[in-house]
Amino acid sequence: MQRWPLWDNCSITAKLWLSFAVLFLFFTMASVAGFVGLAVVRSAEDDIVANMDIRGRVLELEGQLEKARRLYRDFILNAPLIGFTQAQERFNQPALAVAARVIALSEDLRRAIAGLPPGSAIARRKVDMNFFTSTAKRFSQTLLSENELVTVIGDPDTGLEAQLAATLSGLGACLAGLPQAAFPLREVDILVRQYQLTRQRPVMQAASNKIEALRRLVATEAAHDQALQAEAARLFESFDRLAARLLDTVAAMSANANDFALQGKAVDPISEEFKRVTAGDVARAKERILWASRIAGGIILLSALLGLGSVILVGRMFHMAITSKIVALTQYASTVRDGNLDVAVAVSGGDELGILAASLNAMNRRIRDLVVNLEDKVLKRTRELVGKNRELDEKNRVLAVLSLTDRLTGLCNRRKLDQFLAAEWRRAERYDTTFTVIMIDIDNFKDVNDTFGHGIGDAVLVRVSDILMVVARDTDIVGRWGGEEFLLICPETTIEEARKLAESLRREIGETLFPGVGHLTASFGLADYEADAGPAVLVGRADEAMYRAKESGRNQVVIAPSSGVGRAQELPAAQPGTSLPGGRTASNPGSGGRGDGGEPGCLPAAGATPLGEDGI
Amino acid sequence: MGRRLVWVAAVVGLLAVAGIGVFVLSSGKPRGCTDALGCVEIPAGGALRLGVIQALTGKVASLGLDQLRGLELALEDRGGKLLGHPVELVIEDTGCRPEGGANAALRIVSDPSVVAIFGTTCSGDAAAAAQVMTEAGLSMISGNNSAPFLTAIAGKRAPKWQPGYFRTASNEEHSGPAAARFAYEVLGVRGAAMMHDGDIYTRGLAEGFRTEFERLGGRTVLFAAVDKGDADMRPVLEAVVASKAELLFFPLFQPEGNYVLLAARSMPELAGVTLMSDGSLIENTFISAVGEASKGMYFVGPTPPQPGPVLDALRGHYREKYRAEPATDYYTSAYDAAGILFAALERAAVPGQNGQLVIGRQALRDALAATAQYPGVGGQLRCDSFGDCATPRFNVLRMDDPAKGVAGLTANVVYTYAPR
Repeated sequence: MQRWPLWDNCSITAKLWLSFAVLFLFFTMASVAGFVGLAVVRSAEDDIVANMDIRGRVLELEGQLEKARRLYRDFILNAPLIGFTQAQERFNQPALAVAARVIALSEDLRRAIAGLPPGSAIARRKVDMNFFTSTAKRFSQTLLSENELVTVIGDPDTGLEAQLAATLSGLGACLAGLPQAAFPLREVDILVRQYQLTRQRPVMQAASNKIEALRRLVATEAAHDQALQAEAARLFESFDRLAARLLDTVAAMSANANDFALQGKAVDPISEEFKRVTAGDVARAKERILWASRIAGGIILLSALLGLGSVILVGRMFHMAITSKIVALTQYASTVRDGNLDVAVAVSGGDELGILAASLNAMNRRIRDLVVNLEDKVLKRTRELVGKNRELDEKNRVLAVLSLTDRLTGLCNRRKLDQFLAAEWRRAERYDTTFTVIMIDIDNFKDVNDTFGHGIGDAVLVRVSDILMVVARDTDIVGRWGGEEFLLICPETTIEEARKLAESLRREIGETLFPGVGHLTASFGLADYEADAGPAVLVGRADEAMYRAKESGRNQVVIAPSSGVGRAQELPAAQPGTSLPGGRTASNPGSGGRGDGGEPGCLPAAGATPLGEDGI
Repeated sequence: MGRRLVWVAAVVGLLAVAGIGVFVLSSGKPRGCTDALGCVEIPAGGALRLGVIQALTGKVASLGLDQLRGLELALEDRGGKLLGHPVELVIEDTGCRPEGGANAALRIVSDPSVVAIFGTTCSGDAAAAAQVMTEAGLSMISGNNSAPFLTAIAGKRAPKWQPGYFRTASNEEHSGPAAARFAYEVLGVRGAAMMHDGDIYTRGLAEGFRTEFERLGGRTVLFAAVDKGDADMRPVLEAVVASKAELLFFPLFQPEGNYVLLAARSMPELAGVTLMSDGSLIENTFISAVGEASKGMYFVGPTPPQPGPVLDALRGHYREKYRAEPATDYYTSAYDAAGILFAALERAAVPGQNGQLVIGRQALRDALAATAQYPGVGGQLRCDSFGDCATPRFNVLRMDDPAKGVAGLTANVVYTYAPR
């Protein structure tokens, strides 16, 4: 299922790049928002600082201007009361110092305004600001000028008023001799004092008019006194000159006062406006800080939320794209490891894991096919093997039989007989039991071979074997010892029982008509276990007894004499006379027969000595 | 391959941005200002700002108002625009006081976008304002200032001369002499009193009168002064009486001039004294204020523009626009001053490619100084090296019938003096 084909088909590296790019984007957004917010806040703080600086300077400049005005006003008001010199020290000199400070402040303020950012409200009011600072400077210059004028007028030594007073005093002294001049002089003095209070030019003009009247009076009343006229004329001239200067100086002071008023009228609203504007700028800057903080905070929060969302989304997509696939692949691998090959991993996509899953599925299918084929083959091979085993067992069995039987007669061969003999011998030795062996040799068999050929001879041998097999008991072991010699091992059989069996056999052979040959006989030698040194000794004794039977005329049973070592005792030798021609034994004719109808063979019957004791 | 394309695109983008920037900078902004006094840059569509410093309050407000109206009429003739830019007037009042002129000029020059100043009304204001204006590198032209101190006296630079100052009102250097000549030669006065208010204008006139009068052989019996704002003129007039002056020359403004006249008329001792003032009182408000008291009084003032269609059209325009009669003829010199200023601005301004305007301050001064054969209302005008653009020509007028107002007065020319 491919919900996002592009994403699903991306490689894991590309997905990692994309995921971290998205995270980095949100991180960058948050960082940029924070940076911009900080920049705005810093800019606003700079504006606040700059505006507060400007506001502080404006306030200080305004305060200094006000202080200078107040000092100047106090100087004007107090000069007549406390004296010009003291008033100048207490008020005018500080006013001048303040004026100098105002000039410095106005220059500082101008520089501070020039350094303001262009967008600020104060910067937009540069015209007002320039006017404010230049007017402040002009105020100081005007104050300096005013100080000069005040000094020109009020200096107690060289001031115009002092000179005027001195001139009037001189006139009083000069015209003391003219009583008509006394009253006009007093009027002049009063007018001058009035002028000092009112500073109204018409008052001084009136005083000048009185002086002019006095001049005419002197010209008429003191015509004879040339010296007085000359002195009076000098003093009149001095008065006119001083009055004119005083009037001009006062006019200049009046202009300065008017200038102060105009400056105050012009500047005061501007300073108020500056304070209002700077307060507005500060308020706006604070709003900007608040706004920037909110916006930046919002962006950072949004970025964080988006980042968190993207982390969850990326994690989810990672889980879907990688982790869940790895888990599915792991579970799949476990299932496969446990042997369940009938599963397939459901991991799709064009990435490495999808390719891996497809490869694993393909591998699994291939393994499953291989396993199925292998089982079929194993089953087939097993079946074949079972058949072969059976065949082999059969062959082994046949081979075992073949290896232990005589090919011609089917009786036990010499090897088997040796094994039986050894086993019986060990048993007898261990359990102190007895057993007997019978050695049989066909009489004159060489003649049969020579006469009738080996074929007939072999047929004779087979026939004799059959007789042995028929007559012998089930527990007896019948074997071909070699040539025309046969050996019977009779477990748990005494020598007497064995003699009887041998007699039975002798008779059966003797009575049998061998085709093409006629009747034949056989000689028997018997020996029982007597703690012989070994089986070979026992067989040797039986063989020796058989040879004695041969020697004694054949067709008879001879029991081997006891060796005297053990309990076996040699039976009395068969009477050769009792042996019959043709090999029949006359003595114990009924002994040795096999009447139970059992069929002894090479392979022992039940109860016989197990072959396995000695192995085959 | 892809990465290479990205690099190529980035380089092309950068080059494009740089190219646009260079284009904008080269075509959107004027080249650096090389004017010795700096430049005023007027953005495309921006207003051309002119400072106006006039006496718009007090007794002389009518004179200042006529100056402003002369400017407005000239501006209206140009559709309210100069060089395609609307004109904005920055108006300041001086109150006809020097300190008012200084403060007004300070306020005007604080605005770096102001191109030039049109003003002032009173010469005393002009002296203070011109100094501030000059220090700021601006130019200033007046249609009303006539004090000799502002430009030239006797062909030499006057004490209050300031570079960049021009005027279309006649230099009253010859006004006082005209009055003195009339007094001495026509009226036969041999002893005269002069009165001023300390203002350089009135003082200049009084001194011009004294110099010429004494040169002719007359005697100055009193050279008195009043202060602006003085109301009691009796003491100074008593001095006039005492001086036995035959003529009192008092070139004062209102209201001091009014008080002097009225006080003089109330003093029988002065009944025989000839009263003479100057152009600052050739005004309907004065005539209305003093009424019959002005009868028999002489005035010396610049010769008004010769009647003709140009003057008639201007006066008609004035009446139509303001629904009033001009208080004086100075609105014509104001009109000429504005015209000369506009023409100089048109010559000095350097238009940019995108509609902006650059005006060099020194270039404007040079353009004003180069004014020649300007077709003024009363004839051709030429500005000399001291800033005088009007040809001096003065009439002495006698008030016979105050009811006829300024028109009747200016029509009653009893003497004309043209030094060149």
